[in-house]
Amino acid sequence: MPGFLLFATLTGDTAMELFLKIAMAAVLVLLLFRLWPAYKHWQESGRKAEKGDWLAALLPLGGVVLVVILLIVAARA
Amino acid sequence: MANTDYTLMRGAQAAISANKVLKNTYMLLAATLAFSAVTAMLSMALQMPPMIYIGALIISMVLGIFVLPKTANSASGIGVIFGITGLLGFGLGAILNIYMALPNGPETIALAFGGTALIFLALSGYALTSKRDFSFMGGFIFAGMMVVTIAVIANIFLAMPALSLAISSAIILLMSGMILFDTSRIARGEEDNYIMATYSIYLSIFNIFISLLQILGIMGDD
Repeated sequence: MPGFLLFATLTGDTAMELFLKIAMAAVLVLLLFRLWPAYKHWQESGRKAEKGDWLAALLPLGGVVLVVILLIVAARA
Repeated sequence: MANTDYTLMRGAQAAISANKVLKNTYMLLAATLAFSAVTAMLSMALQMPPMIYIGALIISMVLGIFVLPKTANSASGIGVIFGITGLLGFGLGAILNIYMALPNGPETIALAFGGTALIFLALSGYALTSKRDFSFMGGFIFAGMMVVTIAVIANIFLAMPALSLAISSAIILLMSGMILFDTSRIARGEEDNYIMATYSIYLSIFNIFISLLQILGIMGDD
């Protein structure tokens, strides 16, 4: 899943690269078959959010967004 | 009185067990990250072509999906996880060489590395000190991962930079949530296999680093 996007945008389509792309897509489809039961398990029997839970989760994720923005500013400087 | 003592003892034992899994997880995580760094440097020194990244990714995903879950309860699981992380590091080295060749490439890599470390340490510290139960995020995170995986499959063949940027942004948020989710589960004793815990956190860190490289590479005009 991670960063094969870099590969897709940086290289052209030779036969080997096309084969690797198809193989990657196939493995990702297999990953989907592993993710689905995990999703079902957590959706059906996972703990439901209580008051204040989502705020406690969104605050640090907001911090992550801020860090990424600062990194982009630093990269463009 | 005897029942209270027994209950207290069981609670203390559970806490000790959770702390042991936490310690083992972080020790194994440090070792696998270091091993990845070594294989990445080896790959960079050997000037491996970018194609190696995809090949390494495919093999490590197959190992992670089919082999690791079967070996995680035995000593061979340690070998498998080092194999997976070594492969990912080796593939990463090929990508890092591409960035090193770009203007401001080394700075981009350094920013992505620092940002990843900061995000991981901050989120882990928050999850451990707040002692909150983030398991309610499980359904949302796995649903998000399925959506992103479908987008990634589409973008393998479409190769749209705007979609790549959106996917990378989504991956950073999902993997950050995953760090909170995994760390709280380990701290509460809900995850007792430190090999699988290490694998999950390692993948979160790896995905965040790769996604940051992608975003900073595009937004930094490289």
